[in-house]
Amino acid sequence: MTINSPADLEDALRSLTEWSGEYENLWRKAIGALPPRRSRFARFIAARPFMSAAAACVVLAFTAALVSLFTPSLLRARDVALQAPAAGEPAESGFLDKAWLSRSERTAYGTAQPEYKLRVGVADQALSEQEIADRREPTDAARQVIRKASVEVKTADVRSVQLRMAHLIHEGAGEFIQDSSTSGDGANMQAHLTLRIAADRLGAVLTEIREFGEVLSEKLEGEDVTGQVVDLDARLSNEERVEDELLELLASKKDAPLTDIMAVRTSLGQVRQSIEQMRAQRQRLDKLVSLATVLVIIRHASEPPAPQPTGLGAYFMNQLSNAWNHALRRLADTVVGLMWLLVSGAVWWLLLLLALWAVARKIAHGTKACPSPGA
Amino acid sequence: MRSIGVSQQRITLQDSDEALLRGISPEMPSGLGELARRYERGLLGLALGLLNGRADLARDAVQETWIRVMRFAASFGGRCEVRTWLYRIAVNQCRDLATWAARIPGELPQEHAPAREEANVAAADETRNELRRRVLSLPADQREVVLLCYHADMTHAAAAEILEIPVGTLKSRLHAALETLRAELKLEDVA
Repeated sequence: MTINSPADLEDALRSLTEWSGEYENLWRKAIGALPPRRSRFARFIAARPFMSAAAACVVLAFTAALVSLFTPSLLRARDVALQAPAAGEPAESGFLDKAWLSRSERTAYGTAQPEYKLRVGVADQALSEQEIADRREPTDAARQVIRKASVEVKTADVRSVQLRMAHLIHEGAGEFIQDSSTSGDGANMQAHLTLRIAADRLGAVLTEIREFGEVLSEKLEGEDVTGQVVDLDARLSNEERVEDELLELLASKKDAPLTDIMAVRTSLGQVRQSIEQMRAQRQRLDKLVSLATVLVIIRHASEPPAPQPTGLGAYFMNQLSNAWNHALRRLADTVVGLMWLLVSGAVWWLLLLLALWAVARKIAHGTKACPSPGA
Repeated sequence: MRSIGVSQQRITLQDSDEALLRGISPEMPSGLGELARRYERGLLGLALGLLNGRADLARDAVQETWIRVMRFAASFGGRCEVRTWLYRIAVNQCRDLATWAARIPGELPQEHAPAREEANVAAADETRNELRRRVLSLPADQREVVLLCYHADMTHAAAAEILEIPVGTLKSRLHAALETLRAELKLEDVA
């Protein structure tokens, strides 16, 4: 066959798409080669893997944002409760009512389990604004609070830490060591230290104490003595006024009978004794308020030091053991995280599944009437 | 009336293509045999041309076409003819295979040569292979148009519908392709 004319060319072109072989029955092979049928959703994902992955990421991010926005965190709720004002106490009080620590402090101390006191009550919600305003008196500046703290630390060198802690006080500011004792020896050695430090330095001193070793427990207390102080001042003022009146009476009645003068002097003596007692109480309260008490218990770290690997084999086994422990820990963390994610976002996962199901349904019904499946 | 016992559903030779297609599904491909009897040879020929004479690839393309027919028969909406739909699937499969098989120009078929006398066969094969090389050198869109338009009794309208292009576009591509081929073959009456 040669191509000498356009007609020959057309014939030759027709021959290019002629099948001169036998009928192949390829449809039978096609039936045998038909892969297992997948759902429309699976086919959609298989056909558009990158788009599906991107859509899944967007949906996950959206879900995570919704979960973080609308699912209240337990710790957050607890912190809010801890910071709420207590019944019978002023709001925004500037002292620690009953040992509570910030969340970061609790996290930093690991096993330390301080005592928490939830200070919000249902009855508070019914308080009138006037009552709340009344409870705000006296102001924070005039509030008298006795602060106490106790910290238990563990360290390898009890004696050294005890001595170093003793240097935390500023004697020039009136601070002093109220008590210091040591007992036991070796692994059973422990020391007790009671420091009296300026109340405004309590936070700084506690921070330094925490750096001396591993904190086993920590407790902070605040006792509001404002009421006592106010009452004491009122009584003291009253007694002083009585003393003045008695002195004036004594001066104006010099010609009175001796028995009367003696009676006045006896009363004056009783009043002065009362005044002295109240002044002593006042000074004691002032001292307690101005100086916070910090009780430190220093315990010996009883665990024996980790055996140092000797030789390459021991070192290798030790590192392998550490790696295995870390791997288990990571696995546990991952499982816990996944469970948390699954449980905390259960509602949103359900909504996501429903949305995906709806999208799949829409895709299934939105196919072209005359598709070209091979495209 | 002859019946084909490929499945539980009774298929007759008088059934229309649409009726056959309605009976096809991956679970019950009844009617596929009759549909294949009507179109498989044509599809193989077109695939052979589009795949540069590679009979093995042509068989793969047609087999994959039948698989897709079984999968997507339920989504056929009747907006076009079944024949057009089948050819569109086959063309798409050939495009995919041509992309996948970068070695297509390397081999030319020997197995489907018509059984004629030895000398004539050799001459015809040589001419066909030469033309096939020239067609292969055409741009892809022109190559598809020229092969489809000269395939069996394909009309321009049907070819345009298969390729999903307007008839005018198809004719202009066909004209350009023929001009190129005529010029290369040095035919005198170039249009």
